[in-house]
Amino acid sequence: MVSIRPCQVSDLLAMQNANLTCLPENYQMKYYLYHHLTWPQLSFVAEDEGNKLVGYVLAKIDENNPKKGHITSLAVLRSHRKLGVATKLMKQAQAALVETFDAEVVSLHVRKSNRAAFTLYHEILKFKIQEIEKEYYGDKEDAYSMTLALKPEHEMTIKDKDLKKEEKKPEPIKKAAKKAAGKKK
Amino acid sequence: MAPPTKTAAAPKEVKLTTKDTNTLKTLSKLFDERKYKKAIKQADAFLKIHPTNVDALCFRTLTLYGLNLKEEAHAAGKQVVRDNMSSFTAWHTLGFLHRNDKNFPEALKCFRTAHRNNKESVQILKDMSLIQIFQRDYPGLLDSYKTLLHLQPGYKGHWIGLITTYHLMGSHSQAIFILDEFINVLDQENEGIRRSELILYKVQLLDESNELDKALSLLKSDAKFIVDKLWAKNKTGEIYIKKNMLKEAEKVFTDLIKLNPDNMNYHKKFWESKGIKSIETITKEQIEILKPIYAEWGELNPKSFVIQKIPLNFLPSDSEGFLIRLAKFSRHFLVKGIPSLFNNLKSLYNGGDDKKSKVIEKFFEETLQSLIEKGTLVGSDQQESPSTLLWCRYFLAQHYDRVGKIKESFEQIDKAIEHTPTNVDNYIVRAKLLKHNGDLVGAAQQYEHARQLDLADRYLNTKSALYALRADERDNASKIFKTVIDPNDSTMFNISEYQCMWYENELGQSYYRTGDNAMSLKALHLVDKAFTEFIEDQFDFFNHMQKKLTLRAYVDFLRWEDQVYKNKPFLDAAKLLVKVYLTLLKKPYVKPVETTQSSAGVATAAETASAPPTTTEPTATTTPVVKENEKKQNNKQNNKQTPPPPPKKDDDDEVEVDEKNKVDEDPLGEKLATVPNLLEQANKFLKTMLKFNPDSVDAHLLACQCYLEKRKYLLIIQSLLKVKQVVPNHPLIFKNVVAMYRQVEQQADTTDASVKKILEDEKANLFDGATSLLQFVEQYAAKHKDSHAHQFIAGEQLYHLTKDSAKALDLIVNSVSSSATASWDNCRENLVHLKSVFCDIGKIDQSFADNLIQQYTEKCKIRFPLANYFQPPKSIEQSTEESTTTTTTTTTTTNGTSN
Repeated sequence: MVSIRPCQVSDLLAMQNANLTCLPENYQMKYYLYHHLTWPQLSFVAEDEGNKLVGYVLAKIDENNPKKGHITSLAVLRSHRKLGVATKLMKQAQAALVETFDAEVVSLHVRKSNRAAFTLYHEILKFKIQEIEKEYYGDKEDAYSMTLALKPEHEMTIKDKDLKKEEKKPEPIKKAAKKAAGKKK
Repeated sequence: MAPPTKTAAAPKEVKLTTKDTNTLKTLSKLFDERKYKKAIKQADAFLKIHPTNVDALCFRTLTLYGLNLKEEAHAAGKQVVRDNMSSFTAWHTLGFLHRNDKNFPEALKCFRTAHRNNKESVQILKDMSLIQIFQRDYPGLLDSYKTLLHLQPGYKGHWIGLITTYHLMGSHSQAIFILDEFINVLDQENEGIRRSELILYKVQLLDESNELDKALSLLKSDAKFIVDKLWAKNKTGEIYIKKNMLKEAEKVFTDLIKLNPDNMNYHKKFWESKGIKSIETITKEQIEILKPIYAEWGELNPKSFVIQKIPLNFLPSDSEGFLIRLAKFSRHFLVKGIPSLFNNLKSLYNGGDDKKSKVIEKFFEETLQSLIEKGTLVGSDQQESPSTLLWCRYFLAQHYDRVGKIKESFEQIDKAIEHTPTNVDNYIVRAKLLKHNGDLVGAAQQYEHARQLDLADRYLNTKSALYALRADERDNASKIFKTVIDPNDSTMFNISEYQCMWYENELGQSYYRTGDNAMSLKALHLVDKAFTEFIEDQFDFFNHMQKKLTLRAYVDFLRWEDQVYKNKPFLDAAKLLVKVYLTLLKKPYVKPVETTQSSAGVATAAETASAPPTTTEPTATTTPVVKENEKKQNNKQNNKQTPPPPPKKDDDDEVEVDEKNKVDEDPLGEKLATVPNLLEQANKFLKTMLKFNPDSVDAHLLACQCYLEKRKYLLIIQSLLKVKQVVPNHPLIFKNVVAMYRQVEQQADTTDASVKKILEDEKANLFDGATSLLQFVEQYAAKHKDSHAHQFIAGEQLYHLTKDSAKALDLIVNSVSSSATASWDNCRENLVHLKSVFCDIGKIDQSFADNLIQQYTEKCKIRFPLANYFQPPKSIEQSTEESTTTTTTTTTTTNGTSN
């Protein structure tokens, strides 16, 4: 069985490892620490009965918009797919965003080619496509920028145009390295 | 930032003109903008007129450092200090150099002197406090924050610093006292999340100091301010349990389970509220209490696998309920094709009895039969889709593997593959089965096959690289991993930048297995490097949290950092590092001869493990967000106070400088392997290991080996006693005792008399009643006839003592076949040891050595026919053909010995 619980500092090493195992956007430990120390309430992990971390959601508040949450990263090991782990992690993060930060909306990016993830966000969690961000990823793939309202429309203070103003994304290792190499030339 | 003139202890001699002051300002600006070349010109020009101006001299020093002329900078910094012993600017500057060199103790000394010379400087105190917290110098830190608060009573950061310092020192009541003051002066408007965090931090302080009633009443009285309700509720429940208010606790955790039925911790606390300490020790009465509750919750939460699974943990294997629950639970997985059924049931196989696994086996065998014959699940008329049969076989393969039925496990997975050749998961399991039986080459090929079916899946890529490394196919692993990490630019790949420690550890192990100790060191040192980075990451957060006020997380973080070397990746690396250093001590590094095959392997691997010159400094590449914040903070702070900030890492000039210098100077690990103080290197890692894992048997046993080299016999006895407490019959206890007494005998003349006396006295105790070393060894061999590990070591020691090669050979070789405890990986470890240590240090007769290795290998080959390590090397094409055709036939023979 897979247990879903709030993330702790001691989970971050395993989280980084799961991220390296599953996803092409990787970060150094410092970034996970930054995330946790800034928004300790918002991230959740999934672990199996042997206390092995098998999934996580890393969530935050938009630096420019205190009512807007953002999912930085979500991963579930292939060995634990189809259990609804991703959905459960997302629901916990969404609830924490509303409860702790009174967030009105949550956003995320997903690769255009990642049908499984898109289906999860679009069909199951009811996210809507906000826009397509051209060449968002390090390998130039486009991203769907997706959002989900966490409150009924009449309670919203965030306007649609605010959502388009994307905040700067954390720079994964790969891209930063490339940039530096570019500078060298 | 302001030029140093503002606060500098003005040089006595010359009064500066307005123009001079402006020049210094420009200098400061140039430095801030990292225009170091211009800055140094300006500084030199200024110094021609005012050769003794401390501020200009300090700027010059820092600029040299910024230009990466570190030695010159240090020389200059020291000179300025020597000429201006009472100048705080000079000391502050020298402190910066040390801090940036990560020489924190020296930096702290300089900052302290700077502070003594200028007690009013906030900047010096701030810089000093960062080192003090990093070094966990709490008394010093307390002084710093008290002074800071005195100088700037309105600055929130100092309050927070003082509070957390008291907390970390264990002075909880002081921390609470000041926290209360602080909450009172806080602007209560617009402080939602911050106020909430401070209240919950106070709850934590009260909880930790066992002021449970106060904690509870605070949680209640300030409930309206608390926004992290999940944490507050959980904490309330925990405190109820501590206070034995079980009814109240039960209600809290029932509510929490409603919010998140999948949080196992809530369930554990719920059981505690029902008087159940653990599910392993549950009584019949307690089972009856839980049964109806979970029956009801099960109905309410059909999608919570935690709730669906828990009854399987507590219901006895012979109860009707268990079987019904098992059928219900597994049905969902089989029908929907969820691959993790085995992983979900795995915990039921643990524990003393195998009753549950027997019930599971019977149930799934019946299910299989029913699916084959009728296409239905047991006790149902509903026709299932054909894939249900596939997933049933898929489960059974893993089940049989777990209970040691090798033949059956391969039979099931092969039929599953036949059923649906396109199902990736089948190959993953088959690779696992091969791995468990020692066919690492076959396993790697199998995983590669799975990977090829879905190249876009990062998980498959990662694991395929792992399997390749386990089979010592480092080139393949590196190829796979490079494509994964960056498909567009494989030259950029640098594992250490990714802090991908599993890869570094596996690489180190693989090199060690294949005898390349130097490269092994190189890979393993990258793990150590990552941990140094984790420690130094702290510097980014000391200021950060003062703004965010997330003090619960912050204190947890510092406590985690204090124990960071406890984490498994470090422990794994450290253990092997010590082993490799000890091996190198006996068998010094020899430059590899350039043969075609090995040099190709080394070259690629070297490329993998080293930092290619194109990559950037890790600190410059991540967490731009943190950096921004830092920058903002720095800007604010710098407006007021003294000397220039240290050169920044995220700066163009400096990146360029770094790039130039960043060449892998040790591509083959040669430098690491030829340091003069191998034993000291080993000792360094050993110390860390023992400090953070004082109960680790492995660490103590490695320590014994180091102590033996250093002739610290009493420490050996101490460590062995520790091991005895945990594993009374550990074979290496015996080995170390024998090795120690042998060495003392050989070096009798030079061993201290009092030590000899103690060893003589301890004999009775350590020799298990035997009166001589030889008798002890013979007695030991006879006593542990059934254990492979004990026999092996007895044979090895017997040879050292008597040089009786026939007897030793007999013990060592027959250990493989005579005992049930031998496993392929133990035998592989022993064979590596035979080859790399026992037979390879020139103290042993060559024909005996050859004979020993050949016979041992032969025995292993028969006992573990799938394990490739014991098979003669074959060409790749050959093994590809064979691994698919012969595995099932060879398993038939294996089955006889393993069951």
